[in-house]
Amino acid sequence: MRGAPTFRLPTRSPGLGGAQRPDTGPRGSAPDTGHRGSAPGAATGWRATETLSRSLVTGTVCALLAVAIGRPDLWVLGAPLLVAGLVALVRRPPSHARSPRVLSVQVRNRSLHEGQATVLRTELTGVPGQEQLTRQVDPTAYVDVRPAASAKSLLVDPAGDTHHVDLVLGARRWGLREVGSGLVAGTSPWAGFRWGPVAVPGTSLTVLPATAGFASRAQAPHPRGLVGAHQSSRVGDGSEFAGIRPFTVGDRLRRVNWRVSLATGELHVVETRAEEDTAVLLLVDALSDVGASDGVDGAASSLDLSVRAASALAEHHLRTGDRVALRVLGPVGSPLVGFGSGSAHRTRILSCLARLRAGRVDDQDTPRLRVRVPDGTVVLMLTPMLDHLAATMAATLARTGQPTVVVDTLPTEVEARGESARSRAAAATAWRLRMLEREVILGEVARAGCPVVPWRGPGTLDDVMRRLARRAQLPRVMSR
Amino acid sequence: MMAQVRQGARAAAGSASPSGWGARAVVVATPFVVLAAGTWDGARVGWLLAALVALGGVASAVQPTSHVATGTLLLLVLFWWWWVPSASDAPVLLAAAALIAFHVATTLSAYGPPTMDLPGDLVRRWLGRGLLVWLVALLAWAAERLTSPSDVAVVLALVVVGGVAWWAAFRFGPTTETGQG
Repeated sequence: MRGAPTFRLPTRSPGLGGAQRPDTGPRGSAPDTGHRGSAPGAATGWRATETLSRSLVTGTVCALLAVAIGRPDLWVLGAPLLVAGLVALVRRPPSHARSPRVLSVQVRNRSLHEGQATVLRTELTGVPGQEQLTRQVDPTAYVDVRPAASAKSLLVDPAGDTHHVDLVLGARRWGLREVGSGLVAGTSPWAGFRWGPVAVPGTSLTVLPATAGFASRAQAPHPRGLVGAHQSSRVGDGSEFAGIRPFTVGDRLRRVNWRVSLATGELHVVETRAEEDTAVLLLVDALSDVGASDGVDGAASSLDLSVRAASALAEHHLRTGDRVALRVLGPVGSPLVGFGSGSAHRTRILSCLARLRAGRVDDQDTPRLRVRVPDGTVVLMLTPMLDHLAATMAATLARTGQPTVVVDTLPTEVEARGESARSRAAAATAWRLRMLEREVILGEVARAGCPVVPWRGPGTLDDVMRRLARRAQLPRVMSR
Repeated sequence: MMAQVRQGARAAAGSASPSGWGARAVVVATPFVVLAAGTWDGARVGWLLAALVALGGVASAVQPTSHVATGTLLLLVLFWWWWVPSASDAPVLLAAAALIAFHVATTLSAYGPPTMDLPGDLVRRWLGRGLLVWLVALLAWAAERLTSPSDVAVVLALVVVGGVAWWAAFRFGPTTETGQG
């Protein structure tokens, strides 16, 4: 294989049955791949197993003792073991099969959603004379492996040159995961010879956040686009009734209201409101991650809620034809996606959400967090609102006149953790103080004209968006 | 060595699969079957020997890829040679079966970590092999019974067993693919 570092053979045969781990290179040095052990293609040779030596040594000792001291019963004891050893020797791997190699480690789907599963396939080549194959996978956070033991053994055809072993991986939480690293080993018939265990590097798996069912019938406050599902304030082609006016040149005949026309003796047409798309900016607060995260079916942390809510909102708005952008309030390198629409854009947003990491923002990075959004853009800020920075950003956006909604993603229950009862009590007190401080922040945000709604899934935004739409029709004064 | 044994014991106790437990239980139990067969034949088993055998069995179960199992087997052979002066028919066949079971179970345990489920086809294949090599013991015993108990009988038995070994090697040569993927 190309440029693969050579896997140094272990000084003794550890096998996979015990608790020992294989050597991964010269003492104190790791291969350049950054993985434990060898890269795909690393080779190791066949070695006699302890099974072979056990049967041959015990059988030979029995035979010698039987002949030397005239004890045929010892031969009865040793003959089966000697036979097993001899058969294992006869069935040794062919001489040309000295370099078994891991050809590839790949997942069937490089990207999948939380709760979905994929197949991890490890392909081996150059292993004729092999009867059995064992593959073990190192545990990865939020990734379940089936079989549950994270190891699989299977019989293979000794005449074959290429074999593969499949394990099923189930993703429980969004994020970028390194899966599949572990060990692989094989044995010849009658377990006389073994190659490996060889360290196998992992492969990357992108777990996209689940698009929890979300639907909203609320209209955007300031739709400014071409074609969409939101009622615009201007008159145009649409279905929502706006008024009746006298016929002018250019009006379509199907718009004529015959009842009014007959009553007035003059042609009148029905006016409708235009239906336009809107721009939606999803602003995800990744400054902190509060609460336990147990995957898609378990407890959700604040960042879990934010990411899944952002995913659901993006899915909904893109489905209705809106333009959606993503901005992350988080450490340097946080993902950023511009406005766009369509399924490819949806994938882009979900991929960026999967790469999201919680972290603080340095003071010098604060200017980077200034958000400039086009007029009429609906800003949906998903935040547990535990940081003044998030509150400042929400208030600033609201004061510029942008319709801004804060979606509260703080989990309902956050367990106070600590090693002792005293430390847990102290943590609980600190958390209560934090909650009081948060109440103050939320009040300030609401006074700045930014409604705050807790994330409840479908219908979360209906009421608040209707109120924002009504407010948008009123005359207003804004600061820029 | 002891650290490895302790580490292996923790791993085994933590999350061994039922089949993994089964194989390791056989590894621990079968040496005592050999002692019992010897006792049946009139041998007296001292506490020290029993403790050594128990230690060897447990260590072999915890570290099936080490050479502890070889040491345990040799200890059992030594016991048979020294403490069982004239073995009769049934006990020696029982002891041979126990030694084969110990060997097969240790081999199965060495295929993977204790948490790994042993595939049924692999277990069945090794049960068949165990039975086959026990037939070798039966042949050796029959050869010993048919001729006078002398060195010639042992050599004859060796020839018979060698022939069976070669036959078995080629009879069970090509194996079939049973569980790809």
